[in-house]
Amino acid sequence: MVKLHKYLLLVFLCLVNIPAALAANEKVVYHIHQTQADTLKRAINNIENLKKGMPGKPMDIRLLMQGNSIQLLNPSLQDKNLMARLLKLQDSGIHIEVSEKNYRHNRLQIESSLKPLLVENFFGRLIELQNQGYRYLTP
Amino acid sequence: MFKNRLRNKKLSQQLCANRERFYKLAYAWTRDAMLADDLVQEAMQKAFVSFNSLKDETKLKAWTCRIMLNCYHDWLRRKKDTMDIDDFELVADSSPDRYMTAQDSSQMIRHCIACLNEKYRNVITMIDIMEFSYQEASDALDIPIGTVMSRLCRARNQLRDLVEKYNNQIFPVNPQYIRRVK
Amino acid sequence: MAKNTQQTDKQLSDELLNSFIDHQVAPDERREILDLIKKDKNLSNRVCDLQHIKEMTKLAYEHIPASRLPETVILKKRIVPRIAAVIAIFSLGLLLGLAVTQLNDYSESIASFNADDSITKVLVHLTSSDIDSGLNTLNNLQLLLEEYESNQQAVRVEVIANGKGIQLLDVGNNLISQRIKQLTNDYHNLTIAACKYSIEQLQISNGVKVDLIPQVRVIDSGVVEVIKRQNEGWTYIRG
Repeated sequence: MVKLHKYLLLVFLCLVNIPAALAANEKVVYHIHQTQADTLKRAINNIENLKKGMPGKPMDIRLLMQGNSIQLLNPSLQDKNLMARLLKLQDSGIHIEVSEKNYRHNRLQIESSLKPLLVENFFGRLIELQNQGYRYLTP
Repeated sequence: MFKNRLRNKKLSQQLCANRERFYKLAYAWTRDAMLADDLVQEAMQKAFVSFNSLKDETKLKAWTCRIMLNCYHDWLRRKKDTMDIDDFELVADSSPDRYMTAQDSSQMIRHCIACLNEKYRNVITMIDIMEFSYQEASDALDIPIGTVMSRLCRARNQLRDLVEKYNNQIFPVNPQYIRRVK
Repeated sequence: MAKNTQQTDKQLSDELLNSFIDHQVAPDERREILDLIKKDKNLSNRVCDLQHIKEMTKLAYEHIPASRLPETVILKKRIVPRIAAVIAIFSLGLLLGLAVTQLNDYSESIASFNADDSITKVLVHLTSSDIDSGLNTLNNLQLLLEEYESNQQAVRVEVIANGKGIQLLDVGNNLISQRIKQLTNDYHNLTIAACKYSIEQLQISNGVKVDLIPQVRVIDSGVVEVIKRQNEGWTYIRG
């Protein structure tokens, strides 16, 4: 009976970790604030690699863009393939959020298929997400 | 782990080989075949799952006997309202007259053994039925060897007296052999 | 041995004789007792008597009601209770795991929130000399500070500039310096720091001398300060 208890305890300890691992989303907030030409490409590469690196793991990735970096979402200024990759990421569940102030102030043109969330208080949003356990990444 | 399983298998085989003796011992205590079976079954079940706690394999029989004795005591506690185990004595399940007419000496002897004080009965049955050495009886009952020897001595003397009395058609009505109900 | 038998009273002799019939005496002692038995008829009778009792006891259980159970005892495998136990433990494990996940999320948010629960602490790291980016950062900072103020929530913001970010804090950048002056005047919970090492490096490597805005304080190492703040639970934002 003692031996059975030992095995059950072992199973129990293992099982405690399984649902914890399975249930946990990998949460990442990817912050773009730069406007270099290759910034978006680097960001997309990073995010794709992140998803490849954790296959099967549920992920909640939010791409937050501020300032002139929102221009990177202008289809006329971007490579079509890159835009296609970004759309594919969005379809796979990546959320795109942009600073509302920057978006409206600059009258930025965004790819119509992309449906970013407009964020009123951008830094506040970054703080909020980090407080919720999102890991902070930049290109 | 594999070694352990082999060891356990060997021990269980040894126990099963002695099952008949354990049954006789249990019968000597309970005087009931079904109860004896249950007692043996329970003791062996407990022994099987507790082999890891048996450090010395040479003491397997004594160890199992101890388990069986504990099971028996548990059964007595559950069954009776009274209770100091040491106070309790089995009531003879048949009157002396029956033995006189039936002349079933084995049954008579079993009855006499049942009339012994439990401490003496345990020792004499372990030595004569289980064929335990004094050391094994000492281990099973958790008493010193000297105590085993003195109790055995008294048990056999009392048994002889009881058998003699039966043979002389006298059965003592002794209050100590009647179950006390508190 | 002879001395013993003389000295022993009846009880001891009985015990010894019982040991003898039970084969519990040493071989040499057994031989001695056998010799005595041969010589002493009473002793012989007592031994026979005891032997008879022993045999009687043994034979009494030769013909008892037979056991119903087979020779080998089959271990009762209590399947149902075991299955129930496994299911219960599995469920408990799952629930606990989920609870731990929730707790981890909560504790992570607490940790990242701050040591001092009442104040939100934010670290903004400037590494780029891009003016637009710098201005955008300052605008967002203002939004943040305004929101916390309007919500009557405490916040501390520290801006740390190192590398090329130092260049933003040069008095020559009018737009930036004006904004910083305004913000630091309006919000005393905003501090700006510049990495001394980066200042020196800029001068040495690039020949750029940075004349810092007066509101900026100099710290020894920007990177060390960034790490220190993060360890203290400050929220990190790259500006």
